[in-house]
Amino acid sequence: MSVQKSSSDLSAGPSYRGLRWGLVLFFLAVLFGLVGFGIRGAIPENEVRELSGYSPWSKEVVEVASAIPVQDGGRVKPLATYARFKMLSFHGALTMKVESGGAVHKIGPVEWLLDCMFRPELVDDLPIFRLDDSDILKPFKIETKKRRARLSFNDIQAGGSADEDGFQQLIARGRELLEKQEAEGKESLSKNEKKTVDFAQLVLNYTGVRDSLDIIRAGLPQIEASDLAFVDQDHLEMLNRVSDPSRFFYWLPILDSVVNSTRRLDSPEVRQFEYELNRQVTFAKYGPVLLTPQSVEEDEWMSLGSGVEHFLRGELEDPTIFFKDFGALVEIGEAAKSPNSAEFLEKLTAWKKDFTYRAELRDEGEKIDTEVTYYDRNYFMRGLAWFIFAFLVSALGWIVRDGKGGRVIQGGTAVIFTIAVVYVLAGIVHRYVITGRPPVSNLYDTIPFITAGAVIVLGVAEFLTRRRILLSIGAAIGVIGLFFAFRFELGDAQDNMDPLRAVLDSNYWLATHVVTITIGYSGGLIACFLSMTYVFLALAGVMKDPRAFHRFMTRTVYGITCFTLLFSLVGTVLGGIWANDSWGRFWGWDPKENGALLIVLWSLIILHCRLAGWMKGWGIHLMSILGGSVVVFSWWGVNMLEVGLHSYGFIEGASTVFYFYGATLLAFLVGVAAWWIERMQKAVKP
Amino acid sequence: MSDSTPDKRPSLLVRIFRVLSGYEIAVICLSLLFVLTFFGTIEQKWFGLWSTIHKYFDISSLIVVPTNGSGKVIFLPLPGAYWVIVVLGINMLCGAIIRARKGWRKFGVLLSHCSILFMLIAGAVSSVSKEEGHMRVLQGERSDYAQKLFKHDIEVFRYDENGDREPPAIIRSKYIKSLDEDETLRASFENFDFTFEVDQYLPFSVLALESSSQVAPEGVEVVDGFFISKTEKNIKQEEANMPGCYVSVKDKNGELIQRLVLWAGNPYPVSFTYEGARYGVTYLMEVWPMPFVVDLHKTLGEYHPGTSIPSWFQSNITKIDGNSNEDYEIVMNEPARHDGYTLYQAGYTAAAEGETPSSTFAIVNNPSDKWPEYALYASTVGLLIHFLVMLGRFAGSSRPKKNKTTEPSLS
Repeated sequence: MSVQKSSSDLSAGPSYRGLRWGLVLFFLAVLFGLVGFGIRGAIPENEVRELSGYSPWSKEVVEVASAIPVQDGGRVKPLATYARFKMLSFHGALTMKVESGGAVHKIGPVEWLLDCMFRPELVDDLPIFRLDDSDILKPFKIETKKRRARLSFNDIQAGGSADEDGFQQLIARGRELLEKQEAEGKESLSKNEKKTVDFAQLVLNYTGVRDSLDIIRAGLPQIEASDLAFVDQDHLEMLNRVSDPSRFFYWLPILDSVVNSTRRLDSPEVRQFEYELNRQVTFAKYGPVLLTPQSVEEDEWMSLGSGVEHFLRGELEDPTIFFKDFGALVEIGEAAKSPNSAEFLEKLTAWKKDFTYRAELRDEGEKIDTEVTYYDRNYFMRGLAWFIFAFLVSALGWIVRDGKGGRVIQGGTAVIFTIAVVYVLAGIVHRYVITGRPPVSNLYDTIPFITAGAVIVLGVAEFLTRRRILLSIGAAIGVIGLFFAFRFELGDAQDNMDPLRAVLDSNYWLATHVVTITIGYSGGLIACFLSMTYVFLALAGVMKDPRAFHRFMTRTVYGITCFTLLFSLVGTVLGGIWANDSWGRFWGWDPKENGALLIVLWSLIILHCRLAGWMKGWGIHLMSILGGSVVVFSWWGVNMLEVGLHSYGFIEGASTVFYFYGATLLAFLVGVAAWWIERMQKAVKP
Repeated sequence: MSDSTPDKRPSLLVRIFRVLSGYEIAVICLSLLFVLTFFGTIEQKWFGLWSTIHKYFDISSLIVVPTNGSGKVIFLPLPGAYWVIVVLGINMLCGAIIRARKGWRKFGVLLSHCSILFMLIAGAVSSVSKEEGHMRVLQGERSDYAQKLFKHDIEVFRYDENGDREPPAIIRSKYIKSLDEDETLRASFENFDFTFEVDQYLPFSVLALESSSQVAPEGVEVVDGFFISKTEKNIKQEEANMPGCYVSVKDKNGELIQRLVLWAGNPYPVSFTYEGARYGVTYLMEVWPMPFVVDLHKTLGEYHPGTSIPSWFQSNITKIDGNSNEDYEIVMNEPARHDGYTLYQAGYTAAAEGETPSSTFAIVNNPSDKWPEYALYASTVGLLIHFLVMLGRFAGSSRPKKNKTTEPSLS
């Protein structure tokens, strides 16, 4: 019996099964090694610390505190958002675990910030600092168990010498290096020195948040009130009846006279008193900005520290309102000594209601509740879970393909995939509702948007072609994209819903240029993933009808390349027109512009080579795989160069992109191996 | 009947046309442009935007050798990008427009190629004829000139009896820039009977005052206690590079009247006296007279509360052109366009105490200003038509036939 086989049939000639599977296993091992190494390297261990006497905040307290309005990053936002990004900047994660009284408690951003504000004596033991390279702390004799570690403030303070603890030494060294950098330029610092400066700054920022409410609770040294020449003693008598002179609030209404009086006195106690007064005011400017301005024309909210300064300069329209707010916060601080008491919850709720109302009067903070909901719903993480589920179900469909079981799995995959897509879209739309601007306006936004673009295009392509494989690839892209979004947010620790600078604040251009070019990125990445899948499957030789599969995948990749070209070209030219309106030139060979042009040129090379007949199936797949690196270079790589007019997109580090370059190179080699085996098969064909 | 066989070899012109219109040229040009753009991007990390653009993409750049930050060659020499684009444009004209098959099915491709060619032409027109400068105006004041950041002219003027400047005579930057360090430029003026001899021109220099702690290097001339010395080119900030030179002012008999040292970073004129009159000399950014006057009524700006991030800035101006006055509000991303000139809000300075706020406008005169926009509309329509036709064909032919499975199988 003879069997006729086509020339492009991989099953023609010897099967090379051993070689194929050997190479597949080798490449998979390298790929997983690469991914595992990247993930392991990026995440320090999250140990459970023992913290005696820690009692968690009640759910109700956290819920109320979450929605307290604060101003930060140029907008009014919920305290929960402020806490989230503060904690990320220090900790690189959104939870910490502590063990107290045999129970393990999870501490989230709001709980941690409440601890900083009202129980600072506890927070110095929390492992708040994420450290990626313990070598930088060796000069200060600060001990860590591993190179990547999490440290508490007390761990840092425990280092150093008897004269100068670890914290003091670190800050002194940080200042010294910063001076050197200012004098001799950024390049004058070594890599470790730059890390030292960054870490010292981080620790200093932490003390700012921790001590920001010292002004409502920390003590002041005692001074002889009768020595204060400019202070009305009758007034003091009255204050003595209602307040405690060891607290800042006692002195607040007469602060001007107190400051003028202490200047004329010269005793160590008075100097100490002055120092502490200044310290508390200064630190009170570093925490969350809680107070609405008194004037409707003023758009900058006040911290307690800036409120005190405004009062001293006579800039407050009605100082009594400020005193009242200050007093309310002092009372909240007192009530917080019993953290889950009804009194504390009641006072906190009153504060929240009062300031929500005041913000609303100023047409501010109207999105606070929906923003709290946005973060609670965690759309992208849930979408990630559904994509993982969709991928697993679709993988089951590779084994059970036919019959009723096959159809059920196919339908199930489609439903689960759709749920995952809905989550991603809901997240994007919810962000749009909060920010009021088009879905892509910063680097973070591009990640869920590109993921959504890719999974929707693949979903539509699956609907048109009914080949099943596209949903598997779509689910894999969904998993990778949303995981990357999660990791980026953790590492970046920036609130990406903050307002944009003037040049970017154009909904027209964001909705046209940025959206179009980002869809182009999606296209390039889809083509790359399709071709990666194809070459792995071709090397493994697992297709039933390799010829048809090859034809289908090649045509799909070609079609997606056309799609990429259309959106990249239109997006690039729209960017040029925007640049012409903003900077007076259409094209300036700026790295971001060049990155977009590289995608256009790469797509054009593929299409023209195909038209000329020089590039057929394998060529298109190999080029598309490398095209993925071109897209990632344009999307991320150029931002790491830190040059050009697109300075708002600069990023440091982002070493993950190098893993992607490595993965595409690996897939390219897989493709070359598969193509080579196919050629050998053809060569020995009788 | 003649026995002669017809010559089937196409003529030389036809062969040249075929080569020029072929896919080979297209793919080679696209690939070269890709490589040039890639290296022209990463080199910016080390050499900054301006130097790299000049090296890779300037009309004067014929051969480019990619290097790393320490100057080590990292790739083969490549042709300059400008000329690659010229060849690509010719290829597109010959291959995709003249030689390509015409017809409704090819309409989309034809339209998109035409529009991209038009866009390249717009770029060429812009690179040859675009002029740009900056104008800074204080609120409540007027200005009728801009200054070109990268061109520096020497201006000579006489002070009248009141100490005011009379109209200047100008030595244009293009003549000065072409000088080598050991060359001398002789310039005479219509209105003055003295001459200038410009020498020791340094494109990147710094002005210094000789003192006990700062002695002029050997061989460097000191004039009235000042000297200019060579510095490294600032590759990341082109506008920070300041040229300098020395000038001998000579009378009609060639006798030296005064030796001057000029430096482009010095905003004040240096002066000399000739035949009882006092003259001033400046070496400053080229003045670009405008055919209109900008009257800045109001400059406004805001930052996002509690940050140093600008949220918007705006200038309310009247453009006075002869007898016609037109009011404009210039904001970021919304420039004022009029009569070939475009005014952009490039900067804004808030009023410090006791000072007046000001606006800085970038002014561009570019005949091909809007051409890329027109090309965009046409190319989008062209590509959409073409790819939608292809998508229809793809969708129609990609559904699996019955009993055919092409998904991967582990079984």
